[in-house]
Amino acid sequence: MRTELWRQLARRRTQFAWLGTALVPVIIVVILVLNGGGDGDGNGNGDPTGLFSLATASGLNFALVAVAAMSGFLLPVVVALFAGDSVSSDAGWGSLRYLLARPVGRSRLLGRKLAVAVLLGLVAVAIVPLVGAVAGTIAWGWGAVQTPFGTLPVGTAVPRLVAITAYVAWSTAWVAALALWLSTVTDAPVGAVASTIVIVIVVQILDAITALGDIRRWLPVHESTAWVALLDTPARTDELARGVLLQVPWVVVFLALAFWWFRRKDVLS
Amino acid sequence: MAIPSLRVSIGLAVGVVAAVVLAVVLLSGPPDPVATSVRIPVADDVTLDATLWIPDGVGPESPASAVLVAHGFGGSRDSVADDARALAARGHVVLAWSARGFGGSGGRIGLNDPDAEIADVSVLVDWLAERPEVVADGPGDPRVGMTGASYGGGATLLAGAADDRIDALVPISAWHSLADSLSPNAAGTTTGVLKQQWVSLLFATGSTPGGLGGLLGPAATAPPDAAAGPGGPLDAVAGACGPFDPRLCAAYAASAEAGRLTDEAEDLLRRADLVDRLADVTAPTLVVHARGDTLFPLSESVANATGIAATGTPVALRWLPGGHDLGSAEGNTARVRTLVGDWLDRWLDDQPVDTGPVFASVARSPGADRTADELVPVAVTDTLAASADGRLVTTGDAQSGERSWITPPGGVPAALTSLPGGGALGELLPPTDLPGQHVAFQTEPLTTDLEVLGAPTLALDLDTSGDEVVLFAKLLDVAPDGSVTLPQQAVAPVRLGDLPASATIALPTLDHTFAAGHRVRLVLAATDQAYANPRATAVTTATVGAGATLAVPTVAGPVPDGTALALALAAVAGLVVLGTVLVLVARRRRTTHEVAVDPGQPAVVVSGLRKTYASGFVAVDGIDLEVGTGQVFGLLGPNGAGKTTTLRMLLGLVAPTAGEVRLLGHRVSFGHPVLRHVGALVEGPGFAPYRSGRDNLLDWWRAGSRPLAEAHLDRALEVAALGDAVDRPVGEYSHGMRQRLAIAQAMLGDPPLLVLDEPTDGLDPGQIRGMRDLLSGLATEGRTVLVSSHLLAEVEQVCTHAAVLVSGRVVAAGPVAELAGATRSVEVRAVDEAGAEAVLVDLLGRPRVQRQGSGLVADLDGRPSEEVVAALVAAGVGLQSVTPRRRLEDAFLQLVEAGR
Repeated sequence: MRTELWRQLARRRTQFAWLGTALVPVIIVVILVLNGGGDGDGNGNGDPTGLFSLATASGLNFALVAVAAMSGFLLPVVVALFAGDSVSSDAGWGSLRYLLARPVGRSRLLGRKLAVAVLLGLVAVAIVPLVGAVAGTIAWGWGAVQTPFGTLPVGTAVPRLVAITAYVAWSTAWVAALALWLSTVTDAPVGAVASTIVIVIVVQILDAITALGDIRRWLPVHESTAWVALLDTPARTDELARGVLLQVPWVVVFLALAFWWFRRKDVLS
Repeated sequence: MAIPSLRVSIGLAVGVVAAVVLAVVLLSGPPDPVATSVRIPVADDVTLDATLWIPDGVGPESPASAVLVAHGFGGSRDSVADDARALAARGHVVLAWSARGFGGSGGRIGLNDPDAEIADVSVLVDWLAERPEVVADGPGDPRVGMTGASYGGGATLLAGAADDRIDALVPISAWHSLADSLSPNAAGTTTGVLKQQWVSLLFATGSTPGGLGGLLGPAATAPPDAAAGPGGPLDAVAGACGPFDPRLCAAYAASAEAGRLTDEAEDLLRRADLVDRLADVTAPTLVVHARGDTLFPLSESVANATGIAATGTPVALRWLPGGHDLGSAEGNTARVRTLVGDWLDRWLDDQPVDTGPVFASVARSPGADRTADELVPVAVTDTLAASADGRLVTTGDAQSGERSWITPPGGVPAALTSLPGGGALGELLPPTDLPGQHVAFQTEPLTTDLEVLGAPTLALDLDTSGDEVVLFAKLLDVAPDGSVTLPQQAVAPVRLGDLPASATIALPTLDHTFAAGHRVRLVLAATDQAYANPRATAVTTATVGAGATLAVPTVAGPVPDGTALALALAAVAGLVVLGTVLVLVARRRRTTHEVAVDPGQPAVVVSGLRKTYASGFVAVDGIDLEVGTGQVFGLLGPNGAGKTTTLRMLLGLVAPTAGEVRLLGHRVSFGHPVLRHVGALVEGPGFAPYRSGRDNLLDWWRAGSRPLAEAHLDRALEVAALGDAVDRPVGEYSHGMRQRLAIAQAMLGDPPLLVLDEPTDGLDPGQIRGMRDLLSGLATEGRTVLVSSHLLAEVEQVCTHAAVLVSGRVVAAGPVAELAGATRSVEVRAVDEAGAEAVLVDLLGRPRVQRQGSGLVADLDGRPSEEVVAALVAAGVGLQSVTPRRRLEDAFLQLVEAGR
């Protein structure tokens, strides 16, 4: 486990993914500052929660906006990268067969890979609000969070932000599980990561098609913005609960597929 | 601002498409309904100014249902034009008119006098009955609904009670009792406390057009001259009665002067009460109210809805965000239009519209609405007590005692709680109470959310040094950071005579959640700026303790908020625990499965091994092999013979279709512990390119959870002979360097069995020789080596045993010497080939000499080669070369040929 963690930490891929994740909030801050933080697009179509227009209210506000902005696509991509690359990269290098013949039990190996990928993903998710808060505070100072529903004092906003980040992280659980499965299926890391991203996009598009009706309610991304309810006073948690539970069947199914497949697979790489 | 998110881009694209579609639909939609200005005489001296809206396509041939739209106080038919147009666009004939005293209509304001304004509505219904565009329910009875807000809302309910030809009602922000709303008393029936600021505001806007006009209230209101004083309403008495009925004008002036509602004023206002009229309302009614209405408090809507429902009339109740002027709260315009339109479609035109649950309190943020199938969905009541130490506690914990406060001379300065007519502005005001002029009782921070729905009641004993008690009771929400909010800006004014007295105070009706961590603060204050405060100085005393109880109605939900999340988290945590247990069990099983190597068993036994891939390709077709301990065993075969697949099955990487592999006495399966005692090189090296050679070896060794001391890393690195390169990333290595590192990896831990696939691949001749020596050395140490190769010379030189694999089958196996045949042969080339052949035949016999290609192959039959060379030289055949034949190669080629 520790060995696997060090192996992944030493990888340029890991370092660049984290660096990229950290840079995005910084870049947004720089753009906003250069634009004078002025007339944002307000409540346009790109801003369904009305949060983005409030990005410059305080450092914490920006941290929140950064999480919101990156939760939809960028974080799933990073998570897909970590999980999708985990097994398939070893397969691609040819080192997987030596690990299995070491021998390391297949479930155990996959479990370690999953644990490390989850850890790397969690760090990536945590980077966003932390860097967002620091960069935002430098730009706009520390203070209460303005939400579309009102103002949250710092003492309330910080735990809420932590909860939101945790929820956003958990919302990518299905992506990690899916990517891990695909990673056991293919020997090409690019294939596993790219397939996962394509599937994420397709699911998000499906979720946007209202004609699908109730089917959409069971898509793993359907409650991905439920964390907005945590901005309300008092915080509402019913949708959040649904969002938390909604991940479970998908995670269980994809993880089961990953383990089932990897345990019985002929390793030809 | 550009957020680099695909989702946002998709959202934008969808939004743009939707906007275009909407624009096209709107541009090609039906034309606007036609508005006609009409004047309708309602009394001898009064003619009303009205607008009739007829939707496109509606006419005598295809009549439609009608809707009467009443305006708010200070408005006119024009202030509801947008609402009327919206209803007409839904297919109703709409009649909007200016009530008496407003707009272009004649007459005087009678505050919805049943004999004046309300009688007028019946005349309007008569008028609609004459219109051929309106569906008739019977002679003189048109199909007609009515709606209006505030003043128009009161008119709607009064007209619905007075005229049963009206078929559906949507009163918005209406009063239940106009008198009690303007002069409320939350504890009893004596004359209440005048709502000074609101009354002044109403009187002023009644006198000046453009006030609280629309269905949803004003766009803007001039700030009232709040305090009653010489510059304000008293001037109205001096001749600025404007359009008011002179009796109202006088009653208002007298009340404002007295600081309370006079009996005359109350009698006049009671004429517009709904209190005793609701039983007459038979039309299905949707009651719409704003939670933060400080003019007609939320309790008025409950009284109206329950009063109408008591006779079995269909009723629904909707609470919306915002204050009395509903329209100033964001999103309410659309909400109200949908509510009104759906209700009228349902009950006028019998359309299958889902008008929703009986009760709904619409939240400011989406998705948090509170709904119920009963009008007042309250089940549980929490009872707290005001304690003498200022706490709000359970009744058992309350300390008895007295708490007093002062009414200041003249009633000023006064507490500030709301901003009448200020719309949403009021919500931004932190409530202020003045020291000495109030007492407060506060709970500890709540451990769970407290969802209050309904009117809490407070029971306590009061006494005063003056003639009467006037107080203002309210519940405040105190956040953990100390900031205070007054939910719904709602205050309950109380006036009590006959003191001392036991009072039961109905606090404002709330739909408010006191969040966990917040405190509930009960405040009893002497003054409130919005009201006519008592002028006389007095000290009021409340007796508190276990008897001073605050009963709080709370929501009975199917699942209390937060429980669902707790359950969800518990479920996820349960799964994680289950997974951890499974992992621990698996680990335990694995450690107990640690195996010992049995030296008495052959190192490798393969029996009946078959592998058929999913594609149907048979890679290994039933092979049997045995490799004894200490052997160097060669596995030979052309490309595609199944060598690598066999080795992969040996190492537990590929599952056999049939048959089994035993290593060191243990039957191999995926990841079998015996594999720890096997060093392997299969199909080339496999290393993480960004890690150094040393790190790769260490990573691999540690993955097996064995102590580093067992690895004998130095010896392995010696084999690799990489020098300083061992600390460079493997990605920079040459093929040969990687190959050597891979062999070193296989040697880590000095395994008793080595499985090496093409070990000399990429090595230079010197290294190949070193490899040979290494393998021989290992064999002499008693280790077993299984080598696969297609370099036959290698195998011949180093192997003790070999097997030849062709098309997935073993075509020959045994000691190398046996495989190669007992004798040696030489290849002879000579200038005189025929001569040479003759010499050889003579010497060895015909069957042992064959022409092969450009030379002769001679089986020496045990003779030394120098004897043959001497004979050839002696014969003078011009000998060019005599080279030993690779015997195994011959055998191999023959076997392959035969095996195909």
